[in-house]
Amino acid sequence: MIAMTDPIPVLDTQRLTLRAPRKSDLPTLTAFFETERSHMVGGPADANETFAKLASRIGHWAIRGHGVWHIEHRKTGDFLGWVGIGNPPAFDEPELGWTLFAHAEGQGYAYEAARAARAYAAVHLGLDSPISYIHADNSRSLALAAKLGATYEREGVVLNKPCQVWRHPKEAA
Amino acid sequence: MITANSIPTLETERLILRAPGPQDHAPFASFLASDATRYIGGKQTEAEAWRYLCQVIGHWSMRGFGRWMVTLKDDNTAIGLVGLHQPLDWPEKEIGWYIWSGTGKGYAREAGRAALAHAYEALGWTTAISMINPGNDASVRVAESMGAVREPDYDHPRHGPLMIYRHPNPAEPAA
Repeated sequence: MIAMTDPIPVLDTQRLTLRAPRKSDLPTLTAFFETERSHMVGGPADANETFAKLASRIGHWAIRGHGVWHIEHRKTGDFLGWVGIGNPPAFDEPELGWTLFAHAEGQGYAYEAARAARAYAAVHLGLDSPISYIHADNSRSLALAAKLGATYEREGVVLNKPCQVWRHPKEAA
Repeated sequence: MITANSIPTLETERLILRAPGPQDHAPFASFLASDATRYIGGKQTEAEAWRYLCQVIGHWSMRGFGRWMVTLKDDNTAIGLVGLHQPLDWPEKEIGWYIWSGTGKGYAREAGRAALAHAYEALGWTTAISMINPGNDASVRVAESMGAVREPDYDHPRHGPLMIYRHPNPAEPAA
């Protein structure tokens, strides 16, 4: 056996656990990517493509040393969405992204998860003050970016779609 | 559960089969941009190759088995991708081989046999297929040299008709 990368870290917040993506997330993830709600995060996509996306998320950690966590409710174990640092070659720089499934919205989970992911990235990954790509129509994400202290920086393009680029403040002292 | 940090390393007479890593992106992307992809779905961009590399690694975690980067013993540069593979819409578990450097020297067969031995001995598989695009004569020769026998074609919903070669089950005496 060889050690090719550190295991994906697990982060606990007050209400949430941020953990590695895993195969058992596939049905929920597939249901999400079948909906139009996924159009800004690489969807819609069928079950085969979602399987590949899930595998790719896990491999992203091995290649980059960072990636996205799947968000789980600490009490119920419910899979709520994801948060983390995406950094494929097409991105301008490492991006802090978040997506919640519809049933998990409106309870501050994305804020709680994004704070934890951003702090971890700054302290442990050397990724401070990342960007977030946000579509101009995504009022919920724009509001969350502002609440997180991020500021609008410029217009950009992600996954061949126009979007806004927001910049997060530095976490590290 | 097998995770990306616990991919086994296999060794053959001339080759090492090891976990894929970031250092493999350049040779893998170069292969996927070449005409050698004509029997495996066509050329891919560098960004697609990067994502594919991530998928190959994540497959290990999803399935508990996967594909290795193949290198020569004295050079860590990947010359191929060989191993065990089962995307969601595969009819069953497959052993596959891509060799992009040093073709014609029997590396695909050598690596393929090591992967198959791992499948049978370490993972307890009792059978495996290889799916080969019609016209890919080099790959057919590898399959036949490993003792695989052709079965009726499989009409894949995305990839079209594929030849199926079934590898012998080591627990059964050869016919």
